[in-house]
Amino acid sequence: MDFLELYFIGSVLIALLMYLVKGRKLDYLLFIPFLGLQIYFTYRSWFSMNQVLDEYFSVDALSMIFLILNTVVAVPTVIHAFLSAERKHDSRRAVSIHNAALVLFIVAMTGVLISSHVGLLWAFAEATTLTSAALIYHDRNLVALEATWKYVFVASIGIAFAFLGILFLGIATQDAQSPDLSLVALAKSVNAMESTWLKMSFLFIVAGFSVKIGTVPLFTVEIDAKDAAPSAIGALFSGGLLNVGFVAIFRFYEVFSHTEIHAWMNKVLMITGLTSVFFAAVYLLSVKNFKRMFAYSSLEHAGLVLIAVSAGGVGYFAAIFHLIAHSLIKASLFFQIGQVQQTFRHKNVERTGNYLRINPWGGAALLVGFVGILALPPSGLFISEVLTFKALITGDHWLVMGLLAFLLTFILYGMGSSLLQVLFKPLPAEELTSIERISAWESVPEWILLLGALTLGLYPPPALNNLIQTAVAHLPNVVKL
Amino acid sequence: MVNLLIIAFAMTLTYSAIANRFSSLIRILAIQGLLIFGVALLELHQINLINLIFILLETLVFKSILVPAILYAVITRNKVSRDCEINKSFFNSIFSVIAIFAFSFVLAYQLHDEHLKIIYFTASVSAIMIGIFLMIFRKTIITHTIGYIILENGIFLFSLALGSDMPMIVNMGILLDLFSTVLILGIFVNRISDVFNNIEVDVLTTLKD
Repeated sequence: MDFLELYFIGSVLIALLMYLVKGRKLDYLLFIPFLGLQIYFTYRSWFSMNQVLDEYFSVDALSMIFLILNTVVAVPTVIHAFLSAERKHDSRRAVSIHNAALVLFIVAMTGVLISSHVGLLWAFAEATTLTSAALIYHDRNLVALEATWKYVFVASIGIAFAFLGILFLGIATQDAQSPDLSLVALAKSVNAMESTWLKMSFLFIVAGFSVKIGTVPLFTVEIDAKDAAPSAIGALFSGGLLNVGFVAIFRFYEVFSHTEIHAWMNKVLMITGLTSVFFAAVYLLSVKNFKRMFAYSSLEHAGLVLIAVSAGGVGYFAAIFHLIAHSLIKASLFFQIGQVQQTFRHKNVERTGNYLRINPWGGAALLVGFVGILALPPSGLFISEVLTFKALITGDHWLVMGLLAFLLTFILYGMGSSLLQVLFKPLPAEELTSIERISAWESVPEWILLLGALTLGLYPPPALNNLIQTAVAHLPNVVKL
Repeated sequence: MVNLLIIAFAMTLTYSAIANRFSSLIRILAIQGLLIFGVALLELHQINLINLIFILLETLVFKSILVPAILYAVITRNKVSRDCEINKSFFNSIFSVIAIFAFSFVLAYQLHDEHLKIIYFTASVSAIMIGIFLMIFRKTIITHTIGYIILENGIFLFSLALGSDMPMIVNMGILLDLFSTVLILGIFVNRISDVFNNIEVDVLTTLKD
């Protein structure tokens, strides 16, 4: 049995076992074989990069990058899910459903990353919606129910739109006399296709998968979902699902970029990205719920990534580098904000304060993450944003660059004022004594992720640079760093 | 014959925009399921038998019996078989539907393509847009759900137009149908209607900034 089958069959069996075994600690112990399997799969994929695994699966540099990243984020997600379940005394039934859904969610994300057939990619994206519904509903209260309903409903519309995009692509392939939807076949026949169909296909793909990457037009339910779901799941949404949505859109972009619609697609992505950053800036100025604040910050970064792709040249590199650094920082912020919520027992920024005193290690992690997410040096995001601006300038997009810089200032102010309030605002002494302290050990996973993000900013490993260069090498007008 | 069925499908769409009782909307869904069953039966005779049987079962049993039955059970249990308030006037609804049809026709002719079956394209694009229309301009969650199912019927019809050359596409359409509809109906039937005891959308407004 090859490792691909082992991974899929093994994980599904583990998920089934998790659902059947109803013991809290035992249920979490089952994550050890799953994470082992996930790491083993990532390790084996590394050595079979660019080989054909199967009729429908292949691992290339792009999937490898995000596969590693998913595995890196998945481990602390499980740790924090365990810690929070222990503290909240979740019922056994809730834990078993949550864990099984979490495993299947990670498997579905892996599936999107390694699919080499458009249809399969879409089916796995559909599977992420199904499994995330159970994760969002985990707390079983009215807010969670509302978020789940909205997410499922709108994500279904999104996935239906994406399917429509694939149908249009299907018509285009029939015109080109090659009715085959695997990425390799599409890349060969794409030049014979009618550009009108490709344009319609791309529009619906971007609109449809926008619910996964979390940009305009369908971003609102993603925000609600991250607000209502447990923080560890919010981390996986921002640090995993966002990348998966990007990969889904990027696969189509890569294939279509060798046709005459390349410039048109760039315009679409630029408008989508810029409106996303605009909405993020508007909401970040007024939002008072810190979980929603980070969700809107993900909207901003997803928008930035699309703008980087649309700028072309060195922007392709910047986009992927940005996603990597963003995943590490945003995941650690979501983990830490879960602890903040646990400490104060609510999500309102204005009624918090002095977190650095209450939980020094966690507060410091929040502070470092805050510097990181706002793309101040030495954060990895600083490098990618500089490169994005460089790409915009070389592409003569002065207006976009100016608008972007303007909006980013608002975001800096909006997030800055809220986060500094959480960290430093003095609280009355009697409130400070009544607060439950959280052990500093629980912040260790955040520190590891944050140190990774800082390393990316100070000394980006050459192996990673090569991998990103390979991932974007097939695009037209790509500029080597 | 296929054309006749598709035209009948388009007529059900017109009716869905002005139907003012839940029960008639649900009946429309059942009829649409039957019509799509007919189209699949006539259109897909050259694909392999097992796949064909599966598709026919899905359209006949799932689309035209199971889904309407579940929705009907919800409205009787919640005692809401009264009017589903149309908050646009009758004339506006009819006018919008006609505009949608006209737009779809013009679009289909504009795109003129040898592989594009104009009648399929018009009916399915109209169904998709009318589904969205119902989701935007109606107030209850149940009409939104029905709007979504109409949208999905439109997409499924479109996939049948491509189906004889690419059977995989039809299977994907079925996947979409089964999973999303089951999930949406599952949450809707089990949770929303119980917990809120109310199927107006206005109750779902806790999440905001």
